[in-house]
Amino acid sequence: MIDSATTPPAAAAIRTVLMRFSTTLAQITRANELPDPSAGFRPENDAEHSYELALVAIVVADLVDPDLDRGMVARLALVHDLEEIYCGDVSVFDPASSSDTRAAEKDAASARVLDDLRGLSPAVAADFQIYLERTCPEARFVYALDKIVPFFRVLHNGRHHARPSLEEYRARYATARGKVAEYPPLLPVFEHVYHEVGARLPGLNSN
Amino acid sequence: MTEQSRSTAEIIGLVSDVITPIFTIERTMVMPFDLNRHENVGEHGFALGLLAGALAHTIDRSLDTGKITEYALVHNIVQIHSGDVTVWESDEVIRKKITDEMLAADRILADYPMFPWLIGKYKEYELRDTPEKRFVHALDKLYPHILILIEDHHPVHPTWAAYERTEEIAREHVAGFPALLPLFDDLCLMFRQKPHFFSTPIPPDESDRHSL
Repeated sequence: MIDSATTPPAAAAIRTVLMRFSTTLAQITRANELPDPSAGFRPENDAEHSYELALVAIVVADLVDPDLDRGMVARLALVHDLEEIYCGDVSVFDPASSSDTRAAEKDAASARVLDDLRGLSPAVAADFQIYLERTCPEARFVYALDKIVPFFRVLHNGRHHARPSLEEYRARYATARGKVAEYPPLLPVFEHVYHEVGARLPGLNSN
Repeated sequence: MTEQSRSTAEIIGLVSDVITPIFTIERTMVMPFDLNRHENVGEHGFALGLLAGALAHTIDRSLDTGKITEYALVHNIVQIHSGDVTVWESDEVIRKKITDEMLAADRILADYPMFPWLIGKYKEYELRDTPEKRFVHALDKLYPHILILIEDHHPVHPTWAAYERTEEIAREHVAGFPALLPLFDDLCLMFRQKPHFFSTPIPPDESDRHSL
């Protein structure tokens, strides 16, 4: 184990980033699934989701708005779920996801992450703050795309991880659309995938 | 097919053919929370991107963290076709890796010409002609040392001689960004205090060293 008392500052900082953030996020599982050669499907973890979001965000940025700063898009995608190291991930199909309690948990977790990051890396702290406050188009773009990427995953997998009824699926439309609307150029993408998943839902639920 | 549905289909194809396979490629490195679970290439890309972004300005404030993050994300993308070739492989396999990776890059570009950033950024990274590219490359080579020390466990359990060879190779790569060399040397000195990492004894003149 790296002993922080005798370790060079950079090595100690690296250890903290790896242990507290990246490996912790690799342990936080989501409701969304990834294909697994041995088990059919397995839960995706937050590290995988953040990596996927970053790659998809950059290629979609090219399609939607070439003026978006890709480097910033990449940085914000990697930090967008950091607070989940303290509050975990809750699926949108879980009623708790929209509760005031959950919102408070996320706020407290985000504040804690910012405290951690300020001493460790002001640059990453600044990125996380930008994402939380959505003070630039890149942050609003990443926030909106984060709500769309699960639809791509469902369509790729050919199955819906939550097996929602059509009523449950439709009940979440307004909330999801409201979030995507923070970056209006992504609305046509959202409408397209939302309706495609809805049209295929019985088949997606039976796989 | 409308233009929107064509774009969506292309993105789903990217998720299917490029991104998803990344999560099935296992690396030699294992996860600190489960030494039986290998890190996959996507998890490594995430960790390296976050780490590089966090560390960059502590090493050199002029580094562009956006470019660094992009390079970290794509640096192993060709492995979906070429596989992960570790430093523990034979010289022949390692030499073949360069050709295999070039072919893999061309294949991805041929399959997804509508997303030029992906392979364009990878090929840019491979040039190693800017500080940002050399920083990511160097950090990628010292990352295993950090993870192994955190875990207090070497997943390969090499002989000392085999490890020395890989240390030399890694040092050549880290030297591409000299400001990271002191850190790498410190990590290597720590390795010399960990006899349980190796399947053969560490020579006394190595474990007694205070500098490299």
